[in-house]
Amino acid sequence: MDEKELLRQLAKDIRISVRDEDMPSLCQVYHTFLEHIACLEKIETEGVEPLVFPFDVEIHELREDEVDEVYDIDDLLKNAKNVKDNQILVPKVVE
Amino acid sequence: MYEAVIGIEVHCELKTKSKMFSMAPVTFGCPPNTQVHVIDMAMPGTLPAVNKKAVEMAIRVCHALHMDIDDLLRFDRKNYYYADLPKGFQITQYYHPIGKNGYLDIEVEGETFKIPIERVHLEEDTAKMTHNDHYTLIDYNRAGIPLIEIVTKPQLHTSQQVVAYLEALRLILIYTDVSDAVMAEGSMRCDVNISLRQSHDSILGEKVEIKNLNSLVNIQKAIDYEIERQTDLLQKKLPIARQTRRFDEKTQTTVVMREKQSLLDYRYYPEVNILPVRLDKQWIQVIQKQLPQLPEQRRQRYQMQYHLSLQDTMMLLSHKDLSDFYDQVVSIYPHYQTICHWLIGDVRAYLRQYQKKVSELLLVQDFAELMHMLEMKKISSKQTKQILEFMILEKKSPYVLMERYHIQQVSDEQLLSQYIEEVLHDYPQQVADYYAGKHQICSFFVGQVMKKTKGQANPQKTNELLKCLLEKRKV
Repeated sequence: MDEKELLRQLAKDIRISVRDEDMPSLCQVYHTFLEHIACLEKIETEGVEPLVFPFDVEIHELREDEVDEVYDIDDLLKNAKNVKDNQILVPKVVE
Repeated sequence: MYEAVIGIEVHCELKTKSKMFSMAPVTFGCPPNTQVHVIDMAMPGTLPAVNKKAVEMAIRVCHALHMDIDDLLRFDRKNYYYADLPKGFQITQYYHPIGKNGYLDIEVEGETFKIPIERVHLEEDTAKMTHNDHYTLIDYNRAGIPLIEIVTKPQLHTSQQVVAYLEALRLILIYTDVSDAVMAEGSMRCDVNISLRQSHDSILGEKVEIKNLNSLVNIQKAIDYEIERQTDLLQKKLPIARQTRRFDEKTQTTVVMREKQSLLDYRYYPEVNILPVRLDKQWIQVIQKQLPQLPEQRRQRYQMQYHLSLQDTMMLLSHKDLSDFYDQVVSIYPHYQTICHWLIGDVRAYLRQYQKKVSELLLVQDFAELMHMLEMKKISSKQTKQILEFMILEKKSPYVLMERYHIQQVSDEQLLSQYIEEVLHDYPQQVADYYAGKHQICSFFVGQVMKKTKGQANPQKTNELLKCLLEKRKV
């Protein structure tokens, strides 16, 4: 797949729009990113287990099933660009 | 002929008080965006905390489904970019499900099938999205509600098997007390994967997933339609596309939701914000020991020990509160069939009428007494119905109501004979008809006696005495 086509597909997958005039700078960022990845790929990882947690620990505690205060609806909706009937309104996200 | 190969994924909402990873309440039908915690909205600096009760409920289901339980609880991230989860990922158990390798026995037309269950895992529900013509509305109340996903191996072959499996699974979810499992309300949701193959050992065709199925009737119709559709395509040598489809009620067919070119890459990786939790083995054992008797065990007891018919048994089992109530009543007064008959008949009708649980309408002790009065022939069937109605309305014991409304059965032979003689005297033509061979007229005479006694005559006794007296008169 052509590089621009790939970036357009990725943008579509994560539902952001990319303007044509932004494409050259996006490609540049993408190249830098690939260079970083190339550096990482040089590291020898044969036989190395993925590290998820810095320490090998297990915990034993679980949270008791209790209810706490809920998020104030005005605060919750404060950052939303559009609100309708106390719900967050977004562009239609199904075809 | 082609063979259908079907796998089922069921999502079930757990009835905990709080959500899977936050302390927001778990509710249904509340105003939008009022049951949300900062954790559910992925506010910076918030961290998930695993709900102990949800884990306990998952263990209960795993045990009921004969699964191996992993005592090291681990979670993973399923990455996808969609507004129904503000984090940008769902916390689930991809690599290490809490339960593995179980099964559920089902019965279809007298034949038993062992349905293998691959995995049970814990995860969180997503927000509810309402799609309109030009926009979508998001309500986060549902986001974060604990879910268990139960996945079978693709080893079902007919829509009847699928329905039997879902009915059996629904009862398990209800009897283990983990969910209401109401498909219409979305607390139990089902996705079906179907592919066809030419024979048992040939290669499977392309897989089609049917989503958003909200009733057993629709599931059966959707599967039958899909098998027919795919068979038709194969017979015409046309390709089957890998798709996600949904059932359209209007046309009673399945329609395309989206084409699946390849598997979506969710880039699963371990959830770094939840350290592995080592579950106490003793705690797991206690949960397993405290599990109430499951539907299959109850079914065996009702049929083998109490000699209830399969139909009556299934009727009782399909309403857990009725089955619980039945068990309590028969423990006091073991007249299994009479009690079952009244519970699945008149009492169930009242439950539907009042939309209440049986324990909200009747006391175990009172109902046992009512059944005792009926069995001892102190009251007739009709009077039992009357008293039952008063018990529900007035919440009094049957003895109190019997006295209050002067309800009792007249079984005294002398008194009954007197009423019968009166009736026979009043209707000479009908008596003549009887002697002319029209014996069915007896029910008319019994009816007249009932009328005279305001429904209090013992009908069986009246019938016996009536026949005696008529024969005596003949001589």
